[in-house]
This record gives sequence, structure tokens and C-alpha cells, in this order.
Amino acid sequence: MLFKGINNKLRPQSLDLHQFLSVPFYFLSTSLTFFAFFPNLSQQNMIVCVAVVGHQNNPLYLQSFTGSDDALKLHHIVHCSLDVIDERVNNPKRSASTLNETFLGLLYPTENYKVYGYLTNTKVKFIMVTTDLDVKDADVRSFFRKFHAAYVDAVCNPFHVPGKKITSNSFSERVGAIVRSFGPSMTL
Amino acid sequence: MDPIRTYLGRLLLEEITPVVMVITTPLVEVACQKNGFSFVDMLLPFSLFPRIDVPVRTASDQPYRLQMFKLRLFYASNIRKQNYEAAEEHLKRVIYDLNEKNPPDLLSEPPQLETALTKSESDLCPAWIKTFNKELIRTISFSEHETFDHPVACILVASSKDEEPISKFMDLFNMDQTPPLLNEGAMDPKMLKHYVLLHDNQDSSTENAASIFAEMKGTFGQYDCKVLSINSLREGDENNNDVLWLPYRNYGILDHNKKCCLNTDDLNQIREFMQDLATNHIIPYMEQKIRVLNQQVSATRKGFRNQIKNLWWRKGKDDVPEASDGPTYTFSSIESQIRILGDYAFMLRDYELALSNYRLLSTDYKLDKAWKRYAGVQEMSGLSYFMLDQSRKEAESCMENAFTTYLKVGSSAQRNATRCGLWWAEMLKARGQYRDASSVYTRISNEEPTLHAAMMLEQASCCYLLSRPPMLRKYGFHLILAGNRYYMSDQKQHAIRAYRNALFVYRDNSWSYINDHVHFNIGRWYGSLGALDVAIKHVLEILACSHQSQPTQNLFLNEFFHFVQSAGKRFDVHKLTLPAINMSSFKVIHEDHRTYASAAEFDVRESVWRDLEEEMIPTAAAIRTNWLDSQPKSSLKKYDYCICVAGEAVKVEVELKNPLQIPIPISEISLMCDLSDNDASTLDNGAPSLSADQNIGHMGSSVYRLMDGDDSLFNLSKHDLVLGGGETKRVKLKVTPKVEGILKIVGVRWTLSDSVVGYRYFEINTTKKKKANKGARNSPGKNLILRVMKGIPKLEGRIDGLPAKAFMGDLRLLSLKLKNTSESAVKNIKMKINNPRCLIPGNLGDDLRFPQCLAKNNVHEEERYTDNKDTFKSCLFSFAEGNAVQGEESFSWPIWFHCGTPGKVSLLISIYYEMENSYGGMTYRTLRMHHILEVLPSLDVSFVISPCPLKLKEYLVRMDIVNHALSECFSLHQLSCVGDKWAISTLPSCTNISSVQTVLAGQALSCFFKIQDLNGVTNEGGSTTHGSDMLIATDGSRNSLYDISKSPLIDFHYQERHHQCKLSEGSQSLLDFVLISNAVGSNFESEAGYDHQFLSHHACHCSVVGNSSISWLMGGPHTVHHNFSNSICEVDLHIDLRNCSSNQVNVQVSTFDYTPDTSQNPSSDSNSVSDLSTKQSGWSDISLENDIKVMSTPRNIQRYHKPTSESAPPFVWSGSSAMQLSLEPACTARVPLKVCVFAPGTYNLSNYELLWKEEAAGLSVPGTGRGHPFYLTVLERPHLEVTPV
Repeated sequence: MLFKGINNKLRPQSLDLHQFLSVPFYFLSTSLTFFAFFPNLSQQNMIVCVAVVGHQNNPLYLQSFTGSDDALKLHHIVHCSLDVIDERVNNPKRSASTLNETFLGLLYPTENYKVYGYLTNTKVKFIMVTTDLDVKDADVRSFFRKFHAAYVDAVCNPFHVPGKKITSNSFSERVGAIVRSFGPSMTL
Repeated sequence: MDPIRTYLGRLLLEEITPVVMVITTPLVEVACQKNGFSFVDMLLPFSLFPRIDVPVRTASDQPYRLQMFKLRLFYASNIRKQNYEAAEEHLKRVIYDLNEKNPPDLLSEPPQLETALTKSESDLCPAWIKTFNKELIRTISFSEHETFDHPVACILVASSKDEEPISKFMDLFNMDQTPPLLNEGAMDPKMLKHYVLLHDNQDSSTENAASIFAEMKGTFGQYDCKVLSINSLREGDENNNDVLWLPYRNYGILDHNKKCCLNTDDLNQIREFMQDLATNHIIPYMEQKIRVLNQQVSATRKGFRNQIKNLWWRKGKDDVPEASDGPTYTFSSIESQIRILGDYAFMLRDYELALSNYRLLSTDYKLDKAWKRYAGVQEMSGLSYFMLDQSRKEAESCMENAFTTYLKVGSSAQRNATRCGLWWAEMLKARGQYRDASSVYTRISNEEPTLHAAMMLEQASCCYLLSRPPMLRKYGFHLILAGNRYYMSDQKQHAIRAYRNALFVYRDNSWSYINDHVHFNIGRWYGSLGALDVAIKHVLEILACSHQSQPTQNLFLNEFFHFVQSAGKRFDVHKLTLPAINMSSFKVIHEDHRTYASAAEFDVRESVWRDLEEEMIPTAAAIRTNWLDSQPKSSLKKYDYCICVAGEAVKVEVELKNPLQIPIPISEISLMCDLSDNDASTLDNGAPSLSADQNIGHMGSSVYRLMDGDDSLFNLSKHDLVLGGGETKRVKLKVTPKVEGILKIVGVRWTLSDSVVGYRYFEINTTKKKKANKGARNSPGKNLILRVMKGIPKLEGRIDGLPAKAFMGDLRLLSLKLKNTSESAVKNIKMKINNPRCLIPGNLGDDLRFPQCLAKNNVHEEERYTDNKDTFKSCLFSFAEGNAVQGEESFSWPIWFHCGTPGKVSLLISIYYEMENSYGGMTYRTLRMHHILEVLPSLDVSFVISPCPLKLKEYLVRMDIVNHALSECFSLHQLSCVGDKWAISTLPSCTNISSVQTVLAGQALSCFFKIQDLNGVTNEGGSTTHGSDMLIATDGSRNSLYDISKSPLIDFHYQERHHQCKLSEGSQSLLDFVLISNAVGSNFESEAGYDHQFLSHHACHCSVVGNSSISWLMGGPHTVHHNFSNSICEVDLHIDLRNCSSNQVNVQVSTFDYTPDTSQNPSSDSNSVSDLSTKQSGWSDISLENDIKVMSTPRNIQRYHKPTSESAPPFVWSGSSAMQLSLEPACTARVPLKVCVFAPGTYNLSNYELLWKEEAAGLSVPGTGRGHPFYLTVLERPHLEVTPV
């Protein structure tokens, strides 16, 4: 804890969810059941949440994998990360090599989470929140590639209305499988 | 940017200034308290010198001028470090005071995105937060490690009333009033002292004071003594008092209860005193000290040798046990001296000098591991960099270093970290690095208790909004966090303020979880603060939260009802989202000249009705243009409103949907209507303007009028229902206008859970497009504005006994009941039915004992329907002439019902009637009825007719019956041929067919009959017994036969025949069958109310099966006795030909005497032989397809051919060998033949051939046929009897 501040120093634009989480949430959890306590840290090396956000920054899909009822918190995390994505995408100093790069990399680190982003050509954003603090970029990259494929298949469904929430069960199952496969590959 | 002009610059100029310690005697305070303030307060307004303009020369020789200067005055007792609790207490009070002064504005509209983006920083972040920041920083004043809070000078004040003021002055400084830091040795006790004698003019004359002052001068020196005389105001000398007190008022230290006793001279004296103190004493003293210290530092620390020495010396101290804040330094230590030097230089704005000293010092402290001091020095060097406006990077790294080091030190330096962070953030803000500033604020918020953290987070959120481009989401998120903390520290008003400011971030987006949370909490907090109206408004926003879990929905709903109940008044909520009203589903049903028996009729498209009624309604033009055309008023014509009739209900169907998973009770659903006799022109804007009013939340008296309705003008129906979770229900609302006028249907209202009244206006513009499916009806928007006209007669009608499901073939007698609900009579009633195959109106005189009325009645022979096939094609049925229905009367009419084909049948019935008296141009009305019924498959009857080989006019019939019903059994009753031309009879061999009288479900059976063509056969013997009807049921007598030539059976038969002819194109129709059966064990008995169901199946256009279009039969004697001794025997034969096809056929009959070549046509001959040997009864059809079997027995062929090939034939054909004739369809012809027989014996006369050509549609289809075997036996006759044949 002594070097907490130094950690923060290295991440000038970090959003400190730590303080958001460390405050007792008794008031929220009594009022709104979807505010949960601290996530179970025994579930290391796992993806906490994946989200698909449309090009108008509207949520298309948000799935939590913590099992606890923390939708609101994850909504906030994902929602805030959109600011960072906007910033990255609109940064005029982007070099040519990164201009066509879909993978946006680490959006912001927090004490307990890392948030990664991915932007498709149709300006649909994928956001992944993980508790694994030393995850490799290559793994995240391949995760997003698989996730993108699943998303493309889901929106190719003729019954999917573009711009509306993705309600496909098979997409959920597939995403679940991708997320589960993410953890073990890291431990190998 | 000039650092001085920034906020931080000004802050530093005000906050880091020399401190003057004030020690007073109690009598001094008494004198000051006459004005309501203390001595320090009295001097306070004059401690700031905006334009002091003093030349300063510090270490360097270059003098510069100070423009603005400030002294901080503190009582000696206050120069101590506050402990944590006291500081917290103080801050709490500060917040409380600030709240009192600036209560947050909670009732205005929350900010919008556009306005929020254009706001400046000062608007975004409340000013009191800045004040709080200052107070927060001040709580850590007078720390040991920073010397800028250490007093530079000390003012000792004694009153002229004090006894022995000189000794008092001595005592003052030595008493234990002096700050603890001074006693601990952290502060330099050698400071500039100034002795002031305070003289109260009200108490005594100035002489005494002057003498004391002279004594003081003698004791303490001439320059350091001052006399201040106050309270010189005399009675009645109160002019321009307000102007005088302005400086105090600005500082907010004026107590209005006290009378001010200072006059202008006093104030000028104080001002001069302070000015003198600053310019002549403090600043020169500091200059002096800087120079001294600088020399000292230069001597000991500057230069290479000193540095090496210092380093070595420090290294040697490594074994010193490490204290948490490093070693202790007294004021006399070189480190403290450097620090003082730096701070003094900073206060005199020689930032270069300050910075160099701070840098020197920071390495020392770092080596000493005196982290707190190190951080303090870093902080100051950061500020120096900032004030010098040099090297931003250096400034930031210094601040960051200081901040993290303070954090590292732990709780003792926590507040220092906060101060450092605040300065750092201000520094970043001054340079436009808002995003970095906000992250600094968030980091501060980690270290502070919740309330302070809330304020820090709020500032952080402001920075996010101010950063370019604005980071709205982070802004919102931090405001939510701030609000959360405000709530936790019991500052609900600020919590609401924070949440409200965040609202617009989440409003447009579909981040509903967050939006719900924000709205709900705002609502709750408003509720707890008592602002129930606003609370309800916010909770309303989230009521329809279908995405939330059920407990959450319950929570929202309960909270909402709780607020509503506590508010205790009626709430009318526009666009209440519970339940959701599906506007696209909404439908207006009104009756003008078209009336409807039920709502189902309205679903049928208008064009369908129009087609149906085409012949019935007087002129085609009458329906196209409105009846209003006949009215002279052209204004009405212009507004082509729909018409409704007073006293008749206008129905509006609306779909209500419950978006929640919780059942919600809804009561008193009714329409909101307005009935007026306004001119049409005002109406035009009526409804839209009303809805526009509501959109801006205006609740006029008109709304109450609309919601409550007006009983004298119209009646409204009210419905109560409970919508289950996720349920959708359709509600039919009625309004019944009572008087003429213009009826506007404005909206719908309902009561949710008996507490909240919701209402919604029908939006005309949006519904216009969606209701295009209503076809040619008036434009939907206008449906809501109806012209009510005077009451006119109306017929109500229904059909009794019409089942929802029926079996195919079901024949029933129904009755059409018409009732005139009005008092006037209607006349000239006509009816039209779209499906005459199913419904045929009967006659009023008909025997209504069904099915007995159909029984065959021999006694009373009725006339036959013969050529009325087309009677019902038009389907227009006029009830008996002059059949007027008087008011309040009803009458019924029999209607026959029969289902021909399985499937869904849509029955449209339109009844036209005219008014006895003409009402306002509306001369007629129509009553439309629509029924849909399901016809289930029952018996499927098909007939195969094949010609009888033995008799030309008889046919064999195979009846195939398949019962397609699922569980129903049918008993066959009767099979009849239609018309007089055919007789039907059972086959002699199987007379008993009682085994087939009941057909079980799924059973298929075939039975055989014989039919005889009675055409041309006039009343031959026994033909009466073979009537056209055949009873299949065994238990019935002959009398139980039904007469199929009676109406309605024959009528339906013609309909069936008409419809089935389309199916039987091509083949020639021979006759029609009617099979009558009864359902046994019917499932529908109870529903229909009949003992048994009467079913009639009509199979029309049955034709003879066979591939030849010509059938023929050779006739003639089979046995001939002839005396061959006289002559050869000549026998007359004939062939009857019949054309079975539907075309004209040219036939050639040719005979030949030779035996056909076996190789040419073996099958034909062999067939005959095999028939001879195998077939017994011989009536079965001879088909050429049997030949395969025969081919396998070549021995037979040989046996047959042997005699014919060896000898001449024993008979020859005589007469013409070929005859040609043309046969019309269904005609018969007889061709005479003659054969000569030479010897007695039995001969097979099959050696003839028929060739024909069928002229079908321009093509001629040829065909051939070999002769059927005909055996002629010629016997030798006794010689005596010679009889020519």
C-alpha cells in the first residue's frame, strides 16, 4: 500500500476505481441490489466483463462474468472507458501504423482491473475488463479477434436489427466460451 | 500566462505571506469588543496592501518593487498546529456556514448538455468549494517543517488602562501564551517585536496614554513603539457610517448588534499603523534576515568544498535510527536556516533565491530521510517553478514528488498531501491541463474523509468537463461518485445537486442501468427532503424499467407509491409509462350509416364491404361521397369529419402493455373527450394545441375538465383491469355522445393502483401514417373528431345458432334476429351474403321443424325446382315487401347454413334498411355482420362410375368414403341421385349393406351400387322401386328418406354444383350424388343444440371412368334355331353405340371375316379366349391391361388359332362391312349388322372393329376398339318346322 501512490503516478489518467470500490457500498446495495461488494478476488486471471458498444455509444451487449450482481459498476466502467476510446481515436497524433489498428490496447488500469478496448471499422467498440493485472497484449488481441468473429456472426443474423441490443443466445454462449478459454490459456 | 494572474498565483500571494503574532492584554480586547470585534479583526482589513510599492533588495544587489503585500495576523494562542479532530470540527462548521450562505439550488431544471459545455469553471464548480479548499489548506498551518507560517514579527498590545503597562509588555511575551512551536524550539524566538499602546478615547483623555507612550519609547526604543487611539466617535457624530465600515463588512466580521465607535480618524490611524508596520519594519527586517542568512549559507554550504564536506558529514549520520519524519531540526540548525531563507525569499517574491535554497535543502533532507520536510521543500520548489513560469515539467515533477512523498509519510502528512494536491491541481488547471488536474483531484479524494472526497470528486468532474474535448462520461461518473459520498456524509442536498448535474450525460443514451440508478436516488433524496413533487417526477422516469430485475422494479414502484401517498394529493401525470400504451394499435370504431354488429366487422376492409353492398345500396355515388353533400352548408363539407350518431357509442380500442414483471392494477380507464357545438373552424386547432400545452407540462383547468368528463354531454365507459407481468391487453373504451355537436376524442386516462392518474393524448400526427391499413376510410387523425348527429333508428342483428366449428356438410337451420332499438320504424330491408354456398335465407313460411321438413312426403307433391340455378347467384335477398320493423320490435328470419368445403369460412352479411322517416339526409343504414367459422373435414365421398358391360344404360358405381374427422363417427343415411333421370339401386349380389352404415373416425370404405339411366325408359315395370333415392340406414322406413329436391337441399346442391364444376373441367358430367349422413356421438351436440347433426355431401359432375370415349354393346338373339338343310342361317344383330365423351365422335364400324393375324394382334384374341375360360359372371370390366398374364401361356393361343387357320370360318358377315356415323355427346345410336351362319354351333362374333375419331378442341383423337365377345348359338332345327329367321 505504501507504493500505491507511486503506481498512480505512473498512470496519470487512471480512473481510480479503487476508491469507488473500497468505499462501503452499504447504501447502494441496500437501495439498489445491483451494486455489489468487492468482486471475488479468488477468481484470478479472469475476464470480469465484456461489452459491445454501438457507434453512437449505446450499449449493445454487456455481460458480466463475476456471478455477482454488479451490473451498475460494470456499466460505469464500460461507460467511462468510452471517453478514453474517443480520446484515442480522435487523437490527431496517431501514426499511420496505428491508424488502421483495431486493437486499442489498455484503456486504463485501475487497482483491480484492466480495461482493454477494440474498435471495429463500423465504429463498434468492444470493451473487456479483466482482473488479470499482468495479461499479455497478444492474448487480449487474440481474444478480441475471436470476439469480433462472434460479433460479426451475430449481426449477420437476419433477425438482428442493426443498432439494437444483441439478444442472441448463441452469441452469449459463444462469448462465454471465448471468455472461459481466455483464462486457462493464460495459466499455461 | 503570468503566474500572478492565475488563481494559484493569487492564492499563493495571499496565503504565503509573513505571519504577525499578536499578543494583547485583556483590557485591549475589552476596548475592541465595544465595536464587536477583536483586536486582530480590527486590524484585518488593513493587513492587505494592494499597492504598497516598496523597493526590495534581497541577496542580489538588484532591487525590485513589491506591488501587493499582505500580512497575516494571528493571536499567539492561535499559532499552533490544530489537532485532527479540531480541524475536522472546524471544517464541518465551515461547510455548515457555507451551506447556510449558499444553499444549493435544487428546484431549477437540471442542466443540459449544451449549457453545461458553455459554462466556465466558476459556474461549474460552486464558489464555496474554493472557500472550503482554502480552509482545508489552513488547517495545516503552523507546522514545524514549514517556516512560512512562523511569525516574522510580534505585536504586543497593552491598553492605556492597564496598570504598569511596561511590565505588562514584558510579561506578555514571556507568558505561556506563546505558541508551543516556539517553546519546542522549532521557531526562532528572536523575532521583530512591536509594542503598541491602545488607547480608548471613551475611557479617558489622551494625556495618560501619552505619558505611558513616552515611557514605552524609553524602554523599548523609539521605532518599535506605537500608540493607537480608538473609539473616538462622539454621540451624534454618525455621518457616513456605512462607508466607514465598508472594509469590515467586506470581511464579514461586523456584528450588527454592536454600535460602532470608530471614526474616520481612528481608521486612518490604524491604516497608517499597518502600512508603517509593513513597509518600515517587516519588509526591511526580512530583507535583513535574508541577507544574513544568505551569507551564512553561502559560507557553509555553497561551493564545491562545502558540498563534499556536507555529503561526507551526512553519510556519517547513516547509523542514526530512522524516525518517521527524519531527525528533528531546531531553528538554529543549518537546514532550518536555509528553509527560513527560502521561505522569506518566497514571501518577498525572490523566487530564484527561494528555489536555489529549496533545491539545496531537498538533497539534505533526502539524505537525512526527513521525508516530510523533503516533501515540503519539494512542494515549495514546485511552487517556485510555477511562479517563475519556468520549466513546467520540473514544477509538475516537484509537486508529484511532494505529493507522493507526503503520502508515503502516512497519516501525519495526509492533509499536507491534500494541500499539495490542491496546489498541484490548480497549477495544472492554470496551464489548461484539466485532465491531469482531475486525476490529481481523484487522488486527493482517496486520502480524505468522505465529505471532502465528495468535494474533490466534484472538482475532478468539473475538470473533466472543462478538458478539451470534454470527457462527459468521466464527468458524469465522478459526479455520481461525488454524490454518493455526499450522501454518505449526510449532505443530501449536495448529493442531489451532483446527481442532477450528471443527469444529462446519461439521458439520451441507453445506459439505462445508470440512468435508473441516478433518477431513483435523486427521487429518493428529494423524497426524504420533502420535495415530493420533484421526487415523483424523477421516479416516474424510471417506472417502466423492463430491463431491471423484478425486486428492483418492485422497489421503484413501492417507492413511487410511497411518495404519492405521502404527497397526499391527486397526481395527474401526462404520459405515465405504466402501462405503456401502444399508439399504433389504437383504433376508432364509429358508426355512421354503416353500423356493425360487433367489433369484428371493423377488421374487414372497407372495400370488401363496399363490394358486397354494391348492388344493395341506392347509388354508387352515395357511398363515395359523404351524405353531407346534400347539406347546403359548405363549411361542413370542407371539414370532412366522421359522423357518429347521438346515443350510439363510439368505441376506441387501445392496447395496454405492462412493461414490468409485477402485476399492476389499473382502474377507471376511460376516454377524455370534449363535446362542443363549436364551429368547425375552431376545431381544427383544438386537439393539437391541447397536446402541445401538455408537452410543456402545463396543467390547465381544461385538462381537469377533460379528465373528469361532462356527464350532461356524453357518457364514458370505465374499465378496471389488472395487467399481469409483461401482459398486453386490449381495452375497448366507449364514449356515447348525448347531444349533437362536435365530439373530440382527446386522449385516454387511467388510474394506477388507485393513487396516480395517468393520461395521454392521442397524437394525431404520429398516428396518421401508422394506420394506413384502414384503407379508404377517412384520414385517421380526423377519426378523433366526430360530428355527432341526431339520433336515428338502428337495427341490431345477430345470427342465432351459428357454430364456431362445424363439420363439412353440416346443414343447419339458423335464425337471423333483427331488433330495432329505436322508436322509429325501418323499412325496405335487404340482405346480402358474400358466401351463398354457406348461407341461404329461407322463407318465412318454411316448416321450421328441421330436419323433418325435408322428409319425403308422398302425399303432398311439391313442385320441383328445376331451372332456378341462377336464382341465388346474385345473393341479394329482399325481405318481404313492406316488411317494416317498427320501433322497439324485433323479428327473426330463418337462414339455412351448410358448409361445403373444409377450412376457414368468412361470412359477411350486410343488411340494408331505410328509415321510415328521413333524418337529416341519412336515408339508409347498413348493418354489417361478420362471422368466421372453422369447417372441419368429415366424410370425403368420391364416386367411380364405370359402364356396365352388359347393359348400356346401367352403370356400376363405387362409392369411396373416407372419414377424415378426428373422433367423429357418421352414420350414412341416404344416397340420392339428383334429378329424375337416374335410378339407384343396390347390387343384387350385395343387398345387405347395413354393415357399412356407420363410418368410424379414420375409416375408409367402399361400396358398390348400380345406377340406371331412366332417360327414355318410361315407366317400365319395376322402375318405380328403383327411385333416385336409396336408403342406407336399415332402421328407417321408406318415409325417413329425405327429399333432396326440397329447398334448401336443392339450393345448396346448385351452389355446390356451381362451385364443383370448376374442378371437373374436361370430363363429361353424368350425374350428381347427394349423400346424407348423421353425426353419431357428436362433440358438438351440446353446442349446436341438435339431437343429431344432419350432414349432406354433394358430389357433383360424376362421370364415367374409362379410357374409351365410345361404349358399345352388340345385341341380338343369342340362340337361333335354323334348318340348315334349307338355307344358310342369317341372323340380324345390332350394335348400340354410346358416346361417353363430351365431344362429337365419328365412328366407323367395320366387320371382317378373316381371323386377325396372331402376330398382328395376339392379345386381343387371346384375351377373348381367356375371358371365356376364366371369367364367370362376366360383368366386370374387360381391360386390355390383363394381357401380360395371358402372354405367358402361349399354348392357349395355339389352341385357339389352330382351327381358324386350317379351315374356313363357319360364318360370314353380310351386309355392309363398314358403316360410318357421327355421334353427338351422350348420344346413342344403333348400327344394324347381319351375320350368315353356315352350320350349327356356337360362334364368337367378336371379329369386328370400331374406329373412331374424337373431335376435341380442333384436334381429332383417334381410337380403336375390338369387338366384345358375343356368342351366338345356332341349333339345327327339326325339318318340319321351317321358319325363316
